[in-house]
Amino acid sequence: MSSLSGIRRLLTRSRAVVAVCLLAAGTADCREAVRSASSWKETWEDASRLLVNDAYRAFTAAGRSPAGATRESRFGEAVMLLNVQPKTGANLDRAQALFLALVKENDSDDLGIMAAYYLGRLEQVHRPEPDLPRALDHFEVLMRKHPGHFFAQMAAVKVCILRLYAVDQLVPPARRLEQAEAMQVFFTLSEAQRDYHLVMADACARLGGTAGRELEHAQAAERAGHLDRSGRADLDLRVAELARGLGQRDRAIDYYRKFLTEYTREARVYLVRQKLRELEAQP
Amino acid sequence: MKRESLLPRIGVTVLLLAFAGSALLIATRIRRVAAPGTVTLRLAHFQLEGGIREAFTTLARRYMDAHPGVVIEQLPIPGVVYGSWLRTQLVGGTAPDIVEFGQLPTEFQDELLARHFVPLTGVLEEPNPYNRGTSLENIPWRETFIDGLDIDYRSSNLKEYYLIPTAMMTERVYYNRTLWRQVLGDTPLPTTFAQFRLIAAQVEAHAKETDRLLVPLAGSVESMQALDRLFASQTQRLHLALDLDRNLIAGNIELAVGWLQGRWSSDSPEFQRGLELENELAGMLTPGFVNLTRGDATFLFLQQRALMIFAGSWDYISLTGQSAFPIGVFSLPVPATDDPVYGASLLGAMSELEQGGRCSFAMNAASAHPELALDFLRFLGSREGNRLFMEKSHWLPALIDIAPPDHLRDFMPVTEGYPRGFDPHFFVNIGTEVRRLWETHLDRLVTPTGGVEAITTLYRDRFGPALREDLARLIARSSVRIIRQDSMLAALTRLRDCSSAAECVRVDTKRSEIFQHQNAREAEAYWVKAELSAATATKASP
Repeated sequence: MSSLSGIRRLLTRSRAVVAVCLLAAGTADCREAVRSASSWKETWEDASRLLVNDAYRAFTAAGRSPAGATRESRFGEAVMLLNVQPKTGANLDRAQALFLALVKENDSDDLGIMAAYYLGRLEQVHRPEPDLPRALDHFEVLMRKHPGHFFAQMAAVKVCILRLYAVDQLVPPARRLEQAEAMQVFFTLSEAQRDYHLVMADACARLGGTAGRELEHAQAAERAGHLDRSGRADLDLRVAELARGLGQRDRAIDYYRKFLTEYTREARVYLVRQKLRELEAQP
Repeated sequence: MKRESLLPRIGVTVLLLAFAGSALLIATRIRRVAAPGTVTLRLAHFQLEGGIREAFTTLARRYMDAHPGVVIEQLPIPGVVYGSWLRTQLVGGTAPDIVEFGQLPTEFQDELLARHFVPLTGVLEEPNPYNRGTSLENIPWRETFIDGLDIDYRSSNLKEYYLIPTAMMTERVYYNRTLWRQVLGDTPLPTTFAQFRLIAAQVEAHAKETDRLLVPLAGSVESMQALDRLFASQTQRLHLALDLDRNLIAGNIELAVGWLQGRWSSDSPEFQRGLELENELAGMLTPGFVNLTRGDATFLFLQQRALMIFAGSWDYISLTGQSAFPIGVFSLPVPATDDPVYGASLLGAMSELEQGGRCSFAMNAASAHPELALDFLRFLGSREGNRLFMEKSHWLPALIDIAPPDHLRDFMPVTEGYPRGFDPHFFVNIGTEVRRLWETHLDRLVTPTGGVEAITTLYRDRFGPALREDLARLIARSSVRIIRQDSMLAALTRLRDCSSAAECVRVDTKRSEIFQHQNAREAEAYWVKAELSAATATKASP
């Protein structure tokens, strides 16, 4: 009943906010003052539901409180500044300054590592004019310093994507695929492995890789796990279709059956049943 | 009394009466809401078709009987104002407890859902208590819906479920049984487009012979749905050929990049045959149908000046309630696979499962009675609730294991069918430019002076720029959504220090799924940008 407890929490908090605001005669910062006194958990909950402006106000209020900003609140403020509306250059510059300070203070704790990752993201996607080489620098430094950290692993996925499609456009696609293949050994965490192999399977299809290699990546992504429901369905069919095309009849049958077992009320079911029937009829 | 002095008096009297009526309405409503010992739940929707308000009233009454002290108040709001009304109510904190989610711009939907509605992901994975004692008793609530809530119900950016559907919708050809017998005798219902063509020809011949004003099919601007359906039959095979990631669905991006890469064009045989079929069907519709409204078409059908009309299952009550003749329905037939002209491009009958449930409700996070609102939502989405709704609304059930009455059986979605192909404006829409190109110039295809060649000539020049513009916008919009996920991902990472195992799984799963989605969409966006640049460079080179 997590949803209901969430509703209760929302209601309790909003009532408290209203009460304090009334006592404080509606001063502009009353809501933020109330929220900064509560735990960061609620603020992060807001941010996890895209309520970025609310979370931003709570984090910045911490800086104005007598206790001052904490490392957590400064990170929170910076990461909310990436998306707070209206999105301005000044906000992004402030976010960058906060991330840099966090990295400078300590580049080895979780917040320092995440700050380094977000410095890369800031240059990659948040600036009006992305600076992809600088983004790559940030990501690659992080990969060297903390190769086993979750955010360094995700930074490597971003590097792989950028090198395949964005920064090395003069390099022939086959060479880009080769370079990306060489990154495989870096990925040690299963979620990063999943994303790397999915990106590579797509890249094989888009950039002229072989069907055999595409199949290997698709199956590696499946082994890594953590796929959502629609992702599993798509991957089952991808493996089945690739295997069928490569003459791997038994594997194709297995994956068509796997799809049909899990997804019974889907627009593709009838087509998959026909394909399975055809394959099974083959000697 | 002089006329000059009478008119103002009448005006003032009407004004006073209107004011008194409004005051009375508000006063009775306040008294009802404020009645001691009662809790009022409000439910808003925009379904003003016949039978729907009665269906909600029946559901509310059944629930109130079982829950003394609870009042369910229904607010039917016209669809044209519903979106702005709902947003105003949500922002003002006065929105009803349960609202139909719809008529809202897609770009705001994530924000609205996140800010104002309760995620239902957790409760959907538990059995619905209202299904106790039924065949659905031990099944997670999500799996009790016909589409398993696989389509549209999970915000792809928020990775949460928010909506509960109440009905499935399909479209059919309604026909006048009496007129059918008069004109066609005992001709059986058509199962192929070739048979449908013969029937239309017989109707036209009959109209000519008897000098009677009669067309085969009443048409309006909404007949485009029928045209699209026929077109989509011709792109079934092409659609699969363009499916780059081999999941047996080619999305808008795959179709568009396929066009940029020159893998298909408006001159492709499949596209041409799709246009030919549309042109043929358009000839069976009321002349000038693109300028007529749904009401015009309905009027023509009810006046017995059209043998058939293409309409939705949601129109059943409206059409049968107003007609003076018995009505039958059948599926708009597509060409047979052995059709000498159109058979080569299609796979076969088209599945209707990809449409998913409709008339979906969400729960307002600001509800003063969240437990009760969730309870009513569970009742609405239970076997009993959905059966009651179906019986009164005559809409198709959204849940499995609910047998529809005989008259609804012909509306049940086709499950034994292949995925449909794409429309001339892709699936639903790829963007406004491609859509506008199609809608603005459809007359070139369907008017007697136009035809397939006329629209193909136009498409050769204008489709490319429209598609490139839509594709660039699509990627820009998608990128905005993707980068918003950065703040969510940081937040979910900080929430991993959780208090319970279940909470940890929830947070981890959501973070993992958002990363998967973000990485896949980001790679796709870079790929599309590269393809757009390559296409532009190719076009610019001498």
